[in-house]
Amino acid sequence: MNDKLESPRRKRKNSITVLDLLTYDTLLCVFSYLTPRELANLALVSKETKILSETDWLWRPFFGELRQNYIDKLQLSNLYELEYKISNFKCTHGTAKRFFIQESDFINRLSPFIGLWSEKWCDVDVQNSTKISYNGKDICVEYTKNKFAASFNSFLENNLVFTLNGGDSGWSFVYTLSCPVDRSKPLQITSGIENTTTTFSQYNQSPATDSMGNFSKQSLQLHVYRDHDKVEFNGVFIQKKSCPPSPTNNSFVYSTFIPPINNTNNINSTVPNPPPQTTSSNPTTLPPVVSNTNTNPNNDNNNNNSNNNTTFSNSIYSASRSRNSKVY
Amino acid sequence: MTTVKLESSDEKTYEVEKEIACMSVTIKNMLEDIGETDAAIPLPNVTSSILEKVLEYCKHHHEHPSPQQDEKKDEKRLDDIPPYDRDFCKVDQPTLFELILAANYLDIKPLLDVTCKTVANMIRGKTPEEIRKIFNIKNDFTPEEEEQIRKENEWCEDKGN
Repeated sequence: MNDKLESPRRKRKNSITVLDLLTYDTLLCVFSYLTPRELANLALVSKETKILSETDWLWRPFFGELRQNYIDKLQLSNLYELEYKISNFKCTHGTAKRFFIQESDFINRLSPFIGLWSEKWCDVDVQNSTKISYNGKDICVEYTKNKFAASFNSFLENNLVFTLNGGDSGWSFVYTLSCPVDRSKPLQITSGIENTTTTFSQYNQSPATDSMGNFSKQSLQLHVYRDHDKVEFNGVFIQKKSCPPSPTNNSFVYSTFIPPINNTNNINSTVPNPPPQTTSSNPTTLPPVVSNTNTNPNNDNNNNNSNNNTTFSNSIYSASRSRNSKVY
Repeated sequence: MTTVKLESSDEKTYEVEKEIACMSVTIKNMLEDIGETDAAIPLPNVTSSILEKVLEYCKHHHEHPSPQQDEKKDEKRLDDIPPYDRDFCKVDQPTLFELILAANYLDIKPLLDVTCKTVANMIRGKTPEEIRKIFNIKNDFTPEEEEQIRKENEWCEDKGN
């Protein structure tokens, strides 16, 4: 008699289902044609389909998709860290699915932040000021203008926080970038500044918006907290569609970026001795921030822009934090 | 033309061209093991009705060989079932499942692929409730368990990423 007919699964008094008729290996063969989303959906059908759909054999082939997403979405040229994780992967039931979900979630949350960004807030308008990249282990933020040093703080949910300090003024700014959970829905401009403790300037330009006042999909919402006077601003990070950061550019970042041994220090990757920071607030050497009483767009920021070309190669400051050392 | 005899689980015997029978790796290996014989090869896991369908499939593909495809390319596609195979799989669920089991036992990869793809297509794009209905599966989760699994699988909900 057919072994299948002898199995306990067949002895159920309930009506016969596909789970009773097919053997586990043939069920796995059927499920091997499903996508990760479909397998995840299958886990909601019944306890038995949940166990079957979480079999590592079904999920390991999707690691190739992870590799591709690291390259495509995070613009990562070096997959060493991922390969290391995969090669040290301990295969027990369900771990491959969890690993895939964890990595996919990280890629999907981080990918909107990756690239070279221009910033617009208050009357600050600096082109290609900030480069955000990921090297497989660390999130790297580089501020490429005006002698400022960027220091990555945290990446939690859909918010990426970094600190800018230095420049001739020595001022410090906390930048919080937010990405909408639903990327298909454009960001709505929020008016005003939240929790302002003093007077503030409102971001009132919308170059990255459509006629409905929505941010383009290539935008991130920006919140800036200026430390010394505790003033907050809202703005936007914009990425031009016409010139997305190329893998070549990123390979430049990875080749020059060396994560600091001491994560609390900033790195000047090209200048051995960064220019000394001063507490001077000389208006001609202000950082790319406009005080709340200054609304003239043709002031320091544009001056900063004019200096961009000359200061770029000498002012690449970058900082990173180990992915494991921060909440992601 | 060399032929071999195959015997189904319900003891029906079929005389088949050796080349067609050898599309089954299992039968091919058996023939290699036992050598030339007039005795019928027993196939205890395949009923006569299913064996007839399997032989029909093998005969068609023997006479109409499909072009060799790069095995790695689009191996997991579900929308590439040839018209004959699609029609061949238009059977009731028990028959389809028996065909899968037979293809697996007889080790006929093209038949196993097409039958598994057909079942996978029945799952594709369906909600858990629809899948339960199609395959007559009982939801044995408690509401709490179901909620917990939904949370675990939140990542797969389309967020437009």
